[in-house]
Amino acid sequence: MCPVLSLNNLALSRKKGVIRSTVAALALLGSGPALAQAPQSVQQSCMVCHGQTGENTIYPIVPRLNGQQVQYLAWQLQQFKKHTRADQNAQIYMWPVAQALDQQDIQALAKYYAAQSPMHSASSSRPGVSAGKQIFLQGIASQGIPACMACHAVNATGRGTFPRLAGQRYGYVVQQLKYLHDGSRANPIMQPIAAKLTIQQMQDVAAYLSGLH
Amino acid sequence: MEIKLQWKNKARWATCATLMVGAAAFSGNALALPTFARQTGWSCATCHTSYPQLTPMGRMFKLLGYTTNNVQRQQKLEAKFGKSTALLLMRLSQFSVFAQASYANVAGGQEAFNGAGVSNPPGNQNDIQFPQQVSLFYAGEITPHIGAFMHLTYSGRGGFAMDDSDFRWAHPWSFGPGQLLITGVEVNNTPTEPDIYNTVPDWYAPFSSSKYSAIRQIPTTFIEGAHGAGYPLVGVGTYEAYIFGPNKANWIYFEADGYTNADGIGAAANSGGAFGYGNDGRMQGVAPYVRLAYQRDWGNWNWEVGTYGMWSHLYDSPNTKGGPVDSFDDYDLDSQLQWLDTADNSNVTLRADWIHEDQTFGPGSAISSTTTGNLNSLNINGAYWLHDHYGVSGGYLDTWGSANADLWGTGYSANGSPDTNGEWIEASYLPWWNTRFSLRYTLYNKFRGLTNGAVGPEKASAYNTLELLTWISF
Repeated sequence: MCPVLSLNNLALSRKKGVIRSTVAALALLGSGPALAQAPQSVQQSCMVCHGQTGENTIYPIVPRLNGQQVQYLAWQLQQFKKHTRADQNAQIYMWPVAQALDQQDIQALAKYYAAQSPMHSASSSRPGVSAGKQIFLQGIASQGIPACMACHAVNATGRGTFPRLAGQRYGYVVQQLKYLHDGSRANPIMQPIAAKLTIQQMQDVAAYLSGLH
Repeated sequence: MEIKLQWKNKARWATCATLMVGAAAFSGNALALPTFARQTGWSCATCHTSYPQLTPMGRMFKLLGYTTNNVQRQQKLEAKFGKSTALLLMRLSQFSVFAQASYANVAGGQEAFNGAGVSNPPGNQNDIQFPQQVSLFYAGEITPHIGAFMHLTYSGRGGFAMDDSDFRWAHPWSFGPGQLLITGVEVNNTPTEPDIYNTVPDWYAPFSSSKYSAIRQIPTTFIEGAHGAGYPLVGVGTYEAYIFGPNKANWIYFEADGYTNADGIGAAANSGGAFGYGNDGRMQGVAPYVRLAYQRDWGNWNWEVGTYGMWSHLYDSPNTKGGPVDSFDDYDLDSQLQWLDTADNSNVTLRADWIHEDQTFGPGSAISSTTTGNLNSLNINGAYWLHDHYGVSGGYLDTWGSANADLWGTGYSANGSPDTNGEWIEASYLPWWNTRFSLRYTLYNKFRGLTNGAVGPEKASAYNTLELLTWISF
């Protein structure tokens, strides 16, 4: 098995006294020196949609994974595997992936993506940022919507099983809020909150979160 | 995968033409292979809007050598040598079957093709094909970096033959969070088969047609006709895809191949037997093919612009290595714009390609009395799919170039002119994503130089074609 080659790791090799060009030449010969410790599944499957580091995803509905909370990643993979996360895109894309993973794979993948440098915005800011910021930080008292930061942390980095949202893709955040809103993604905490959000409010909060670093 | 027929009239080209009709029948359409779905667990609609049109995810799957898979560890056979893995082989048998049937009604009847001097009319009042073709595929990962798209097709009286196929070895290289390089080495039998865009001859629209349709009788450039079974070539090449920028914003695709005869030259070398399809792969030396394309992704959109060139030298005689040599230099400009609603499986794809061919015929050529010529092919089309169940597509076809009575013939043609243009519209319904019914009408303003203002039965409208096409894969 030839792991994905990373030039970051090539630089590390140089520090260890290995001649960089030699390593590169070996890699080009297909010998695949173990320079990057990406789990096999990353190259076998994940990278098609999420990219090798989790930052460059192929569609707006595909989430960034880099710097995500390790517990959240592992928990979601378990949910895909058990089919307890059952929104449409989970069924289409992630159920087939997760069924092939054993517990060891799940832990390795969660650790790998969590260890990558955190996700950040790749596009210019969208309208609705200030309204979204207000929802995230203060909630909407009149609708009984609590401040998102209470669980996701004030800078939206998440904690434990509460996911990082800062720098997440706009299209993914909106899509997931819709799934939570209509109940197709089951979550006892988020479902009742999302059920009260309007589409505009979902877009506003996604605009704010996707622009955070 | 659409192949049309060229070079029909000259007796010496009769075999070639027959075989190319065969190739056309073999070509049909492709992909959305159930074997890929079985291997990945992902539905057809993740990689295709509707086969064979690829989405960016499908392009990535192809670039990675068809090796992406979601099979469990125990579904692979691991052969150890000491502590190293000598072979990691898929246990799954990755076979798929495509079956197609069609009905074609040409306004002037099949008799419209029975012009003077035509040696191989496509049919005699025969417009049903059942099966139009049956294809057997072995496709997917062989080992973690090597994949195959192996395509064998039966088409009734045409028998079995290798259709467009490739074997590829792919490897991704990461240059940090925003950069990915995929390199590949491949062997294929059809120019443009390895490509990832549906603007190249092996994969462009309309994707399937009956061999009794008039569209098969439009003269084509060499690269459009140099197809799998109909023109036995072998190509060895490499491709590179450099994908960079946030959210895979920029794709650069490069491919270079060299093509030569797959099976020698001469009647004895490759005639006879179920897989012996004659002698028309008769390259002199190696024909280089070079391709460069750029893709830009943003939001739900992706846009491609590309170009390629292929320079082919062919012995004038189909059976002899020697004698006059003819040259066909093909140049292309193409572009594709796609919008995908990935959460809703609705999408639009607009495609355009223009191929210009310069032809040079060697002294003493038996297939052309002129020494030079040219041919142009313009193909503009688009498709809209609603939930990947209901589709409407249509386009404009235009072929123009030098009149050449020797090369194109004078039967159902105005003085050997290749000039043809027309419009087509198609409605499709997929009750399930492996089953498609399509109804297409193609209207010709000009057909091989014949216009609708012509006096007598030979006019362009006689070639207007209604086709009912059915397709199932499993």
